[in-house]
Amino acid sequence: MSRPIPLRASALSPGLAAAAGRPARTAPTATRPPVADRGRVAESHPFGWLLALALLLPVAMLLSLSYGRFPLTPGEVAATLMGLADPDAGPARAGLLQSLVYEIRLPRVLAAALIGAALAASGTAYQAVFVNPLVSPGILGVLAGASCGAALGLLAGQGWWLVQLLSIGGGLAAMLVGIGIGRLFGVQSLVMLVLGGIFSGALFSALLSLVKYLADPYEQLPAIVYWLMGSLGQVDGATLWRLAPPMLAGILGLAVLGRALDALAMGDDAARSLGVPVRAVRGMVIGCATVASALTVAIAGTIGWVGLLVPHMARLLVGPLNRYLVPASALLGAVFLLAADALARGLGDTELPIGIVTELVGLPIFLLVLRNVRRGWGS
Amino acid sequence: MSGAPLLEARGLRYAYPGAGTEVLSGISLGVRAGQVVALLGANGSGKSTLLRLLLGLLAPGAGSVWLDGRALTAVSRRAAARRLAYVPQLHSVPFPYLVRDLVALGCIPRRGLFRTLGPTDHAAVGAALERLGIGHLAQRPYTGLSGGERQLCLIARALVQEAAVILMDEPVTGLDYGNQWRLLALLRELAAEGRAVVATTHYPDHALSTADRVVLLHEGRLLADGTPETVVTPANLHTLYRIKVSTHRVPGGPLALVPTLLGRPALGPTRTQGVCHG
Repeated sequence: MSRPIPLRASALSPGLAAAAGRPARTAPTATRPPVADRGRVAESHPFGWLLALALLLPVAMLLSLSYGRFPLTPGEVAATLMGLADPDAGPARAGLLQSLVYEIRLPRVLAAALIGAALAASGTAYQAVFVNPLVSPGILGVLAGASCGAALGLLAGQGWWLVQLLSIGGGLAAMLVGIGIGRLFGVQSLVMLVLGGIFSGALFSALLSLVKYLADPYEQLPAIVYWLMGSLGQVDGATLWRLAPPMLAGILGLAVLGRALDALAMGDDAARSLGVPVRAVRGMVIGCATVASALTVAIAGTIGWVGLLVPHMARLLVGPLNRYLVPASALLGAVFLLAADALARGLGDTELPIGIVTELVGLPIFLLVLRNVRRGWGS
Repeated sequence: MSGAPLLEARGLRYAYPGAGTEVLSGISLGVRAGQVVALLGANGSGKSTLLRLLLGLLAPGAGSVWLDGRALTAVSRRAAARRLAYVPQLHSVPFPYLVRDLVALGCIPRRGLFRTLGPTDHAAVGAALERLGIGHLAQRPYTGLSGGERQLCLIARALVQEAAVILMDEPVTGLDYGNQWRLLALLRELAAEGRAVVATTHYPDHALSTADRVVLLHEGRLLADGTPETVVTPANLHTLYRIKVSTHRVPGGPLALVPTLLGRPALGPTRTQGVCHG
């Protein structure tokens, strides 16, 4: 509050009557600092970072495809992907490359990128729509709900389609319970919506424990537990092709709604008075984000921290404007999960569940990011 | 400038859902171009509720709001946003939006949510920042600004909206003494440009010296509506705030209010001048 309001009407005028009676177009006061950019002031457009991230993603995917128990050079992988056979290599080597790249590694790499992108983009969207930088799909109970649904699906033993369907159902149910609890207490309070999400997360974690308790301890329980720890090991191409379109649609929807998200971050009343249909936008955003993040559970179990951490990292790079932040988060989330997957595969003799890696790696990074983020949160 | 009201409330009634008693009952008032209207009332008298009803953020239980002679309910939210701008109470945003980006959100009523902004929009943002003398803050994060600067950013956003009516919720709350009066001078400038400004306030002195018209709200009803000197009277202020106030004419200037609290007598005329100029 130390700096005075720089007003045309001079601050030195002895009384308000003099200041108020002054016409609008008086000469500027001597204290007014010069303005660098006369006339037009454009919005921020951090295309540089977006472009860098967009170039980083294919590089990361190529490296991830080369990395593994049977190392390949990135050149070999690229040639295989482009359908160019190396004339010097024999047909056996070509066949090996073909099956290794296309059947084993590509689904896993694509799944890692897609899951990272979906979690990070939906985390960004939740943070904007709830005007709270500390929410994520995990904290709002979506992942717990989806896990609970998925565990039920595993218990029913009717095949993977039921697991996937129940994941989405569980995620949406958790979100609806959270919103419903928030609504119970008064008028559309955002804090209550967040508390509702936390309640709903606790509820579905308890239900998940119940499902685990009821599961057959020799076959079903280990499957549920191992899968919920988060693993990219069992991703198959067919599942991926089926689930990728709705997830990508969700991410795209969130990116398109970027300016609406910015308006919502100003508060409901301010957004409405700017002509934004707040309820419809919030509904669409929550729908897109919930479908995208619940489906990550259907593909690879619970992978925590990405949805909370990556939005903050991306915000440090491209700033808070959501039409740039959502795509940047998606790209960065994809790269982050590819790196985490490489760690999960490379740290031990056997593969670690990726959910454990993201938590162990995510915590210290979050502490580092938090230092910078705090400045942005202001008073 | 004056003529038909730009914004008009007719017999507004409102009760919050679940609450039995009405917050507002039978409020009628019209706001004309070139006017600064001050909305005075004790805590809980319904000032903010009235503002939100006028903006169409709440639906009245009875009565109606009229914008440019059309029922507000018949005007699309976006069309209304081109005529009505809202400057909310000073609040913090949890994300470090740059000032230029926050102010550019005022383009939404014209451009919608999906079209990219063009040179005319950039010019509007630049002009609004210049107009308020905060062009040098364009690249700074809103979250790092002082209260006075943040308030100016919110007003700049309303200017970019190019609205004819600007409704402000306690615009001086949270500002230091000097910035309060500078902001009030700005309200006068905005009205002089032909806009209508409606501002809620807790300060009768501000209403007295700044407003063209003062509206008093008392327990959800319109207690008085008229020129400042006829409305801001010791009797009305006692009804509103339950304290005794005496008025003193500053020689050649406005009326000054002096409250009598803690058994101290009202100050004499000589000291009144000292108070006003000090």
